[in-house]
Amino acid sequence: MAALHSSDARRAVELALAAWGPEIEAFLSAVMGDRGAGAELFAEACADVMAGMSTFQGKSSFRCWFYAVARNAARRAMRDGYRRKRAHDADLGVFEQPLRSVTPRFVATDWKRRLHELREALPPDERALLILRVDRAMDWHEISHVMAEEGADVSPAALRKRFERVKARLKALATEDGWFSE
Amino acid sequence: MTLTDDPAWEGLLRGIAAASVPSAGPPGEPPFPVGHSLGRFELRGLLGAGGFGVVYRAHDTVLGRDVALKLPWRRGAQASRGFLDEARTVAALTDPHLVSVYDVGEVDGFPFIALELVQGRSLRARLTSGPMRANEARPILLGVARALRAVHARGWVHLDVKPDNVIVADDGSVKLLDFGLAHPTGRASNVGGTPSYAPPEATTLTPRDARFDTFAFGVLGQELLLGVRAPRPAAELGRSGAVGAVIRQCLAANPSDRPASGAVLVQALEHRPRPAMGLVVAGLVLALALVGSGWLVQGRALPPARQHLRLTAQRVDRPIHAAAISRDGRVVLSADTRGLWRFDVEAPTRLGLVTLPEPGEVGTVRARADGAWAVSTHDGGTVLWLVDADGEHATVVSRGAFRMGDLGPDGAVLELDDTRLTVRRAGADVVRAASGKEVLLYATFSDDGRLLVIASQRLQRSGWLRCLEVASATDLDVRWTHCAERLTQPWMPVVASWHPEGLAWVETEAAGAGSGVAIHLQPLSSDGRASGARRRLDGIDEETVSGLSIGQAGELLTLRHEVKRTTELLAGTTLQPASVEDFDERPSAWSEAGTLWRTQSRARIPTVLGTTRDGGLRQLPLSGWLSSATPVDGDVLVWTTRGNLDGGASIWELVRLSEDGGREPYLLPGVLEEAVSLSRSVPPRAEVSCAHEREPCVLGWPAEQYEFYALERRAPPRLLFSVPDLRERYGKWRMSARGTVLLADGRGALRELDLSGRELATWGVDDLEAILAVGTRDDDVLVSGPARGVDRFRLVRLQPDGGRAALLDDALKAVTDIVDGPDGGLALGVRVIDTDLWLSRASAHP
Repeated sequence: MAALHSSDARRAVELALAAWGPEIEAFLSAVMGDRGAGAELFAEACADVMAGMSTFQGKSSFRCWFYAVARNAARRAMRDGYRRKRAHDADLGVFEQPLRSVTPRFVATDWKRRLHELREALPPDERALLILRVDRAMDWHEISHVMAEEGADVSPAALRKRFERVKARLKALATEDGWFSE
Repeated sequence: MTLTDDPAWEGLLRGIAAASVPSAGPPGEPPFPVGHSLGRFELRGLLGAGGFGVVYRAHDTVLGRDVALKLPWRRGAQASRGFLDEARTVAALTDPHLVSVYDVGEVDGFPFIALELVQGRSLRARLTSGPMRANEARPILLGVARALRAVHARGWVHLDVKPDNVIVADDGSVKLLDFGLAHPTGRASNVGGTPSYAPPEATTLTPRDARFDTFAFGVLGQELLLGVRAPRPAAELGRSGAVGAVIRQCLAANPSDRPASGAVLVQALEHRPRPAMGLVVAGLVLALALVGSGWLVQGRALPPARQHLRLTAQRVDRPIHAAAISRDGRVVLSADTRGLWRFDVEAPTRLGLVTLPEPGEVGTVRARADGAWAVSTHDGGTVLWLVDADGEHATVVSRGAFRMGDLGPDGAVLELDDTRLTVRRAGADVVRAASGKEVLLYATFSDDGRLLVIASQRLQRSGWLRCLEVASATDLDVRWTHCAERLTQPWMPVVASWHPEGLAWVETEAAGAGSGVAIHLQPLSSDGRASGARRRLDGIDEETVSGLSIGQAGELLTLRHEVKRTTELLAGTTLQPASVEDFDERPSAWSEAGTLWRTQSRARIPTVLGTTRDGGLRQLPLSGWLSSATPVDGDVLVWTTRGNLDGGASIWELVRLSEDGGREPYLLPGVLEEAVSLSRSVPPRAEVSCAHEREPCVLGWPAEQYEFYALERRAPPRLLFSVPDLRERYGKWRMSARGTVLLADGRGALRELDLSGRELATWGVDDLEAILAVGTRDDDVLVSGPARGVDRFRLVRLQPDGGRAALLDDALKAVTDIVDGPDGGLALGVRVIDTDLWLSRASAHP
């Protein structure tokens, strides 16, 4: 990743995009619960990474920093009423997904949909925590960096406690949904 | 890493964390069978289906036409903006080579898009019979290029150009479809379109621009010519002559080597290029060559490509009303009814809403040299705000009864009213009062705060004159002056910007010189005196420019937020385009004797023009600005305003002009017993309408309430009735042929009143957001306005029995004048109204 240390920000972002783009876009889609929103925010996050390359100080891994930037983009979108805007659009008429990224029916099985719906039952912050810890296998310090609010890190201990609560809640939901009787 | 000691639960937990977000709707059975009636649509056939949903051939039983009806797979769940985005994108584009959106809405819980139904077959289907000869492919490619020209000109990139999305209609015309992936130009994206048509940069994060589409166009073209789908030019292209050369250029791996837009493609394909002398490369004559950023076509260098960037997608009833570009050309600050927005020009993306701590309507926005902004808001009084460069903080600089303000680098505050300019410094204010016939329009500090540019307007016998002055900011001593009648138009703000060499400003080109403005530069010395000859920097084919800035590389950046480029006059029973003397003409009345009266304001002397039945032209010159002309008993009643239309001193009058040059004033209502008055800050928007060209006519007069008077020559006006709410922007009224008043109150309701104000009927116009014009045709009522829910303008004919028909439907063209004529004729004034904010950028000229 020599480009990261050079002044060629665009090249660096392209490399980062190739390495971690898909997982970060999927992360954003999951946090927002919507692929269109995820793709849009991912574009924003990439632009933010490019704009903010000079501020990357190497205190965390570049991947972790990319996640933090993406997380900020999601937080900003939610704060700016992205949800409200979408709800408003829905009032105008409920519009379905166009051509982009359509999963064929045989892939989007009921099983996957039900897993997705369980995750959707969590608030966006907890979805982010779950994905970062379980699927992205980040350590607590990295997660604390990604989940930091306005530059102030959240303590790893607090995150760990919160994760326990998320697990308990998910287990209750899964039980209610009949997963453990199947 | 173990998450839990229960393996089943751990597996499930990992599954939940890793689950992908399902996409919108799995394709399956179409939601309705053919033959089903869905609201006003009868579904008559299935045209296609895909990930986006289903397209039916349907019949619109209300408007009586066949449409292509696009529906999602399912109602309700997983609302996606994409469907709506696509509709908005296409609805904003109008071109014969693009499929038109007729309507967008919801029926039985299903969102729908009703599209023009094109009879024909896709280019993909055509390709099954093998490749085409160049002369067969050329008209198809030209059609696609023209469609792309329309898309790119509106600031969009299609991103999915391929044979499947091109339809060759039965009449041979070519239409581009499917805007599901379209993006605003210049926005970074990971959308790559269909892989086999995507350029190499599709896999990288680069802003998507028109060259993405010109590459796909190249792949499509090569497939047409050679039957080969490949992302690089094949040697056989050389046998396809000039068309092959264009396709080869499109397939360049480096975006900067490709044609820059659909417009360039059209030019290249329309003008069969001749080989340039001596330019022979490896046996292939390259007739197209890039010279700088311009193309050589037929040996003629095209002007450097001016880049047009669309920054917003505003609803037509929610226009931008003030905007400015930062001095480095990177950020735009604009105001609409929702607030003050910052845009990153390079991205381009909306950076966010700037929150001002107090309510108020933004009047002016000015960019300062230090990156901050001076913003004036009005809410009773005026507040001058200093908004910092990142839009986070706004502080009050000054409060008072002024119109606009500015803050100098040394803390000096400038306050400008119509008649007074004050520069406040600690302990010493300097004031300039306007002379008797002068109105002050605009003033700002230079970057170093030592100079001011002041714009004013002076009333003269022949009309008014606008002037720019450069003065010392300490004693207001004038160092340089430039006055011109065409120093912008009354509907256009004064647009000037400090330039590294002096002062640059925008000036309207003379009438008849085409639609457009020129940017001029006056070199100035450091003390503000002229230091060289004035020169013209650039000309822009736009009538309205609202902001000007000089970018860091010396490039000219102009901003506009409303186009008033063209008036089309459609007349006759079949609404054919009528010839006009100049593009700003508006039809005003069509007398029973057959004279069609139009008003024209851009000429040096504003004129009422009448074209008689035999083609003769009658001209009634006037001073001032015209709002309407109404025939009465063989004469014409004209409402005119002289002075300043934007505020300040103005003189208005209602005069009766006769063909022999006679001119007789009418008495006006209320406190204004004189026919000519000089007072209010904004001229009243009065209207006159006469039934059957006979007195008494009716005068609509904006007082505390909107008052209607019976108006007769030499008699005082007689109050008929008044209505409380006729809003300035959308309130419209008109007399019908049966002597009633048709009143659109600005909230979308249309009422018919008799002359005592009694309501006789209401007309349903729920499908319009607002009413821009009202007219009558026999017993029917014609109304025009932006359609509700879809960014298009419509002209609708309403019948007393509730029947209705759409006469015109267009994304940009709004009918602003409806004039009923004799013999079944109708004259319509059509304006191109673009409420979006556009930035145009051209490289610095020598």
